[in-house]
Amino acid sequence: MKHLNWRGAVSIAGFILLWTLLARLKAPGFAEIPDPAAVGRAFWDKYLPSAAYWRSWAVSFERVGYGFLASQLLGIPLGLLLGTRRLFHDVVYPVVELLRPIPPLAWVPLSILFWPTAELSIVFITFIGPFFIIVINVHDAVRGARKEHLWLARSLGASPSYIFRRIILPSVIPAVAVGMTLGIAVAWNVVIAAEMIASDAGLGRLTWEGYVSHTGTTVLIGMISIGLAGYLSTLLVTYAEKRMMPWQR
Amino acid sequence: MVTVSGLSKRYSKEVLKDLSFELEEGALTVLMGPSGCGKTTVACMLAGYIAPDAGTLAIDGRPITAAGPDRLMVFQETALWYWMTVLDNVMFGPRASGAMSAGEAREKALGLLRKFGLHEFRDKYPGQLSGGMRRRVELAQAMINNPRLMILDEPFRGLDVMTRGLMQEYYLDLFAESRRTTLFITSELEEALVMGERVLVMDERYLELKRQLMATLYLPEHRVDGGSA
Ligand SMILES: Nc1ncnc2c1ncn2[C@@H]1O[C@H](COP(=O)(O)OP(=O)(O)OP(=O)(O)O)[C@@H](O)[C@H]1O
Ligand SMILES: [Mg+2]
Repeated sequence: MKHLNWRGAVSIAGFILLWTLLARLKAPGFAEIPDPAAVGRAFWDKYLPSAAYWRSWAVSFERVGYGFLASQLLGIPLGLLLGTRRLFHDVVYPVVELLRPIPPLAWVPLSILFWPTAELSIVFITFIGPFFIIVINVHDAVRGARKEHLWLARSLGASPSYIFRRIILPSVIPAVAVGMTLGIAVAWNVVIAAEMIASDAGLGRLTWEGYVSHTGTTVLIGMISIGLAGYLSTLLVTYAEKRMMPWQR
Repeated sequence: MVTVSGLSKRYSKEVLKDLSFELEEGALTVLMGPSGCGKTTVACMLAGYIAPDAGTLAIDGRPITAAGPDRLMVFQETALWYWMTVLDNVMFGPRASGAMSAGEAREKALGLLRKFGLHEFRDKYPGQLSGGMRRRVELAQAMINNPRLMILDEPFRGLDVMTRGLMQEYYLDLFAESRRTTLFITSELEEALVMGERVLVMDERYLELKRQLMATLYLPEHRVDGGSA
């Protein structure tokens, strides 16, 4: 167990106190913002026991989960191909470079037109962000593999496929880890916005509905839930990364 | 025997110009020269990683055209695969080439690690070892393949003085055991004199004379007889 960070605890307490004060005094801009106690009460009475609330969690997590997983499952092999196959690289990489700068949210309308269901279109948008990140990260890692690592393997008589499996694949793992960390953050960013625009479920939608119905507590509970959800998935990803890189322990 | 003749190479500037030398069978030859004079480039040509613009390299009369397990190199910057344990790094050669079964390679690797004082570190990763230990792992990784020629590219640069002295003695002992033909690269005269029976001096200043100087310094006595170094 780590030592409690007293300064941190004091600063958080101070933040909550300040928020309470501003909300109670109805400071400019705070007219519709409830104080922390009201948020806590609403959470306890209305949301904690509400199946609909937990379904929002499940829906968002599922979208992030599918989008993120698909981005890794397709992006890692694509990055490897781009990094190792000259011809493939020359043909496909320009397209990647063309599409990559388009922000994931700019894909929303096209995605809705293309995919038969709203669900698929949101998963697709969630997929896009982490996908390009992982492709570029893996591609750069293959390209940047230390030549000594490859030379040594060649000298020792390893075949190209052996080198691919034992040298190239593991040497991109750190880049995959970086891509996953960045990717999961982007996935949450995107899924929340996409849900606000184009969905009738999920944590993003919950927050948006709070705004539409002028329910400050809902907005805040939505925001806190999103933060927490992002934090939890980062923990998962960090755990996976530790398992992927036993040499870093 | 290794023969190198008329080696030239230019990148953006001329690095090697008409370089020739021989490595005697069973001798420890030092190649010494200042930073940037092309020592690593020569080493990479001997290992078969880089092709010269002009000139030839041969080992036992066979021209060197590609990488091979008969010429192994300990790189200036460690090239151990950081994602493999010490044991896996050492076993890699015989497993990759299929020269030994897994069990055989493991036995042999463990034997070498024991000999190199690394047995208890077999399951550690390179990043968890000290610089001197990493160097010994790299020696074991090469030795398990029984190469004809060992190329050591400034292997002890960056080690502290104590470790460096120990490693020098260590390699000399190892060399005395097998007299495996060795090219030892260094940029320091003191190390050259401690290690070499014969010291080749490369100096880029002579490039201006359109001819690379290859002075040969013969030492008065063999350092590597009964480990008296
Ligand atoms: N791939 C390359 N592309 C361009 N220039 C290179 C390349 N490799 C080496 N050089 C240049 O060639 C020269 C010789 O390099 P080399 O690494 O062989 O020197 P060195 O004697 O090993 O030096 P050091 O003691 O610093 O290791 C240097 O000036 C270096 O910058
Ligand atoms: Mg060098």
